[in-house]
Amino acid sequence: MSAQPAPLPGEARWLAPTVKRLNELLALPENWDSYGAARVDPRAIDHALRLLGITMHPETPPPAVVPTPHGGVQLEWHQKTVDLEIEVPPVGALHVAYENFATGVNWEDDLQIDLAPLAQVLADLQPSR
Amino acid sequence: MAAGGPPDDPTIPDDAVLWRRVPPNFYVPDERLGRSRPSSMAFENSRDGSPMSVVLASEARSVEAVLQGHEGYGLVAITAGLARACGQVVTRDPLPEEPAHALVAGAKTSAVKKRFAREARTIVEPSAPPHQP
Repeated sequence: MSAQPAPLPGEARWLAPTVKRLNELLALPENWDSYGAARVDPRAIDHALRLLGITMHPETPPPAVVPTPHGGVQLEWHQKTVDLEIEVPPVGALHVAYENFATGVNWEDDLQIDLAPLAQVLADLQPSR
Repeated sequence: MAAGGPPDDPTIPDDAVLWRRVPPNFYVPDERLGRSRPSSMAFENSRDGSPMSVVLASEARSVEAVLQGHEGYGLVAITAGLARACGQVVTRDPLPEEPAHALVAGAKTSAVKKRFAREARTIVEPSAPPHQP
């Protein structure tokens, strides 16, 4: 893991590294992947931060964040026995892919309004679980 | 064959190795594997809807030629057989700058992209440090 500043008292541990990474992605130029990718759309960044603010516990580990070729971002956790990927497009529904190798639970779905399934699997990533 | 897409090229055997360039921004840490690996997003079709670009390793000039002008990128390999097992078609698409260029066509569902990401073999590690949250 890279060295990250400790969160301020009361600050979620995922917040600072995630904001830093999202800012880095906003600076990517057109065609950043050499296959014609779009620049990251600020609306996707806004959606991602709002989503995390709603669904994350303060102790949930920060996601790895990658850009998508379509101007969105994808939030990923490959930790403990869980693989969780959330594609956040500039507009439209989130696409969530979840796999738990310990329980065998495996699902993917488009989520727009009901984020309860996502909040539930994010809770599994907390250190105390 | 993918609906409306190019036909599969039977002269490309299942054990043919397909190289895919991966920009450093696409690498993520995987605790279970104990290393960084490409995100599933590295195996998406292109933004304009054209199929995923690869290079036929057996017909490529060299690894260095494939990565020329793409400093910091990694290079990974999947097989044509894996692509076909995921419902994709593999077809040649020679370009002036890369005669060994080929396409992996078909819908890239999350399941397909995740399988490519997990089974891709590293040929060249990215030289830029991978993203660590």
